[in-house]
Amino acid sequence: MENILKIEHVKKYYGESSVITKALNGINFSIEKGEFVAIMGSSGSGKTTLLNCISTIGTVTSGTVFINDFDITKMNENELSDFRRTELGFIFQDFNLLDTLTIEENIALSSIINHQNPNEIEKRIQEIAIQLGIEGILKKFPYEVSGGQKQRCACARALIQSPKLILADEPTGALDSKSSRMLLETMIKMNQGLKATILMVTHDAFSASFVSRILFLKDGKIFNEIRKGEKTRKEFFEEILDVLNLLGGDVDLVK
Amino acid sequence: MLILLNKLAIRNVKRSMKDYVIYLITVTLAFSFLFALNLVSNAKEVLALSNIMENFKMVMIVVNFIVVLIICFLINYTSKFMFQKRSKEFGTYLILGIKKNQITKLFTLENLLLGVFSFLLSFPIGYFFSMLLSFIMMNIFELPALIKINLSMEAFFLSFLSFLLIYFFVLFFLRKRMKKLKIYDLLYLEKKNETAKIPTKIRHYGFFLSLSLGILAFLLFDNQFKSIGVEPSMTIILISFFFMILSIYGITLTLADFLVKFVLKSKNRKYKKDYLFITRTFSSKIKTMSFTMGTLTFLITLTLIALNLSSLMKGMFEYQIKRNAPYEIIISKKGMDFAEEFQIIKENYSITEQFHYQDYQDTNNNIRNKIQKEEHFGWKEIDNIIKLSDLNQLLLLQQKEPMYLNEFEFSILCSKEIRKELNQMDVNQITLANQITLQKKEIKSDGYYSNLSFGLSYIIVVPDEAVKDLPSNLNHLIINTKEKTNENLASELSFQLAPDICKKTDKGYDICYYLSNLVVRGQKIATNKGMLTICSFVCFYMAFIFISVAGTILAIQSLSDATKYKYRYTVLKKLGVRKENIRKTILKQLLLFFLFPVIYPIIISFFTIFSMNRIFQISLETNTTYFTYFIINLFLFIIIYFIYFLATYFGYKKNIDE
Repeated sequence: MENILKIEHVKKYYGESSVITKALNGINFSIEKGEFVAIMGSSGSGKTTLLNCISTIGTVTSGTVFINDFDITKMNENELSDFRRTELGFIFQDFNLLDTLTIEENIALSSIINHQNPNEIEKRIQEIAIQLGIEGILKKFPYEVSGGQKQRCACARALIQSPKLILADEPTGALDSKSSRMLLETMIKMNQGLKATILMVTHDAFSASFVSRILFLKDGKIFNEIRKGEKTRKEFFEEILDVLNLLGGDVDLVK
Repeated sequence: MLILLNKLAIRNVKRSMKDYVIYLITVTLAFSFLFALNLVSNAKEVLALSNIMENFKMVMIVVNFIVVLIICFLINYTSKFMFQKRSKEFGTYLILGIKKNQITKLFTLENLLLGVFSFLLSFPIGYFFSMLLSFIMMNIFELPALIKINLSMEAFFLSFLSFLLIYFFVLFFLRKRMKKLKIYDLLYLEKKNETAKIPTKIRHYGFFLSLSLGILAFLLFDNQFKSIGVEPSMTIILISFFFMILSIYGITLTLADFLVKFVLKSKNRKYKKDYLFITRTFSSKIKTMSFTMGTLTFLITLTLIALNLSSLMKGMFEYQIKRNAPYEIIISKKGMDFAEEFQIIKENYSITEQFHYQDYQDTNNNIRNKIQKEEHFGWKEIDNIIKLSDLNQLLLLQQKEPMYLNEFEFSILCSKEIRKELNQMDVNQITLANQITLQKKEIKSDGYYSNLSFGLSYIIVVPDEAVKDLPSNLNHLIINTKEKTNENLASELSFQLAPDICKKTDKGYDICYYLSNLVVRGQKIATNKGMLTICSFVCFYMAFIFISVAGTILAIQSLSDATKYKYRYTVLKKLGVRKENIRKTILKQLLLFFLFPVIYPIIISFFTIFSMNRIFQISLETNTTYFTYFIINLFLFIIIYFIYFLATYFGYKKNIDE
């Protein structure tokens, strides 16, 4: 299988010379095409820092990040812009939808920037909207729909360019448990039905139990890795809890 | 792609309009005033009003430049503010792969759209303002009809130039800000803690340091206005001005901490009512925008000082009119025959009151010889004397109390400038040239006017019998008319009195010099009013712009806080605080916020007018006139400022209640 994401010796240090925080302290891993991977860890373990480095929002102190065989640590600003637009999709905890645009326009924004054919854009939006169950709210504005719907709209926006990799930062963080479950099922659909490769950061064991592989971070290093394999979701959930107990720290165990 | 960007920009502008109504109104008003004054100062008929109006045009160019800078400050501040508020939105654009220069384009377009909207709107409003100004001028100059203000190309051009200049700088700074952006900062800006810009320790000492600096500035300034005749040193005034600016910024930067320390020190105060909540909210606000607050305080200080200065000038001009031209016409000359002058006056005017008298010369020079100060000499060598009955007649025409003298008594009537020296002089007894000896009764300034003594700053008043055998000096004709006199009459009379210094032109008379033996009130008023108009226009115009800018920035800040910190009030509500108490808290908080940049300027402006009054008081009605001016100006300031406060309060309440 081809590697979509390959991370080699990534380090990220914060602070001055006297007080250095080693947020990431030499991380190596890779994600294959079609995988749904979660990164877990307690607060301060470096999850978000890692995601920022992959998503080109932040920079690494040393090491290399390959996405689809491109080394993003060597790209300039404009190249990164294009790269983000064509190769990456984002889902945030607090949605980051633009409230001056309708749901449909929010989804279309990056396609329009790509100068795509309006008819094709519309067709694609319809396709994705039906898959994600938001076809009825396309003409509404973000403030007129629920949090769960907003997050599914964000998923649609992430999917529209058929990116190589979708990055999700605590996507269920602002949702109630019912909406969370619906969203995760949507993401499974994205992963299996639409063949999207997804990397999700979460500290919630329930959310993590939906994925196929989990990396555990502790003190800026990969501490453990487990795979779902043939296990049921319940068995996998139990296994996650075991690792989290081993890991210690303030992790939400119960949901 | 561009279609969507434009659409986005227009939608964002629409949304911004709701949030920034106050800002838009202020910018539109500022542009309107700019346009109106450009129209007025370029109108041919305005320039023809008086010779001095030529200067008006020049002054307005300089003033407009200052106003352009201030508008620039406001727009730049607001665009920076909008940018911060929408940082997350911009971050989202970036993360979706929109390039930075496209976002810059979008934001530039939005700012320009808002600007163009205000600018276009300013033309009709400005034209309306110019008609108002024309109406005001009609009243000031007592013109028979409104001055016609043409829509001159020059005014359009000047306004457009100002607009370009403003947006050139604003967009320049905007692009510079955009260049430095990082996605990370944009996305997480909201989550960042607001940091105080200056360490606490420095703040604590800084307060006392700044206060002492302020006092030093005042002492330096005050020292320059110790007494009349001492030329104030421009260098020292500038230094004290510089210290004052430092002190203003210093105090604004440090006062919040001082207050917090003061309130939170005592437990009684800390837990009384909503003090804790208000103090904490207030100080966090001030700390994060202390530099802006300093600038606002500085602007308000300038406003108050400008208003005060304008009042002092106005008072001085009015008093000068009274002192120089208490009657419509005064003619002084050697001969007794005024027939021709009467002829000229009667042509266009109906005489209501007239009085003719003579003054006398005393070659003994009892007073003149004792004058020490050179600047009090005047250009005449011989003491002037007036009969008591003549003086009382003159006083009566001014509706003033008559003077009383016993036999063998004299009084001196003098200008305020010379009074102090005369009081110190040893002149309790004088002997006139006719050997009559008189005792001094009093020295007065009330009712004195400059042409009374003609060439000196005082006149000796004696009982009627005491002028026996004294040589007469000049004949004076005093006339009051039913109609108000004008410059034209002055020209005609000057031509009659001294044909050699005046030339007749096709259009009428052209005065070459003012005659010192002729006073026509209409002419004096016209000259002074020109100056006065320029002065007041400039001061009020700048004051208005400064207050509006300060009010707008405070309003924008407060209103955005209302949205940003809505949860604070939700928490209060959940903790069981009643709705009306929350409103009271908001009112107190806003009041504090709006008062903060005003208090120090009030103190400073009071002390400056107090110092300047030492120079101005001799030309003012009374020694305490300045205080009346101070109060009136403060009131005027507060009215405009209060409108901004009210708008903010209701906006804030609406935001919280939603």
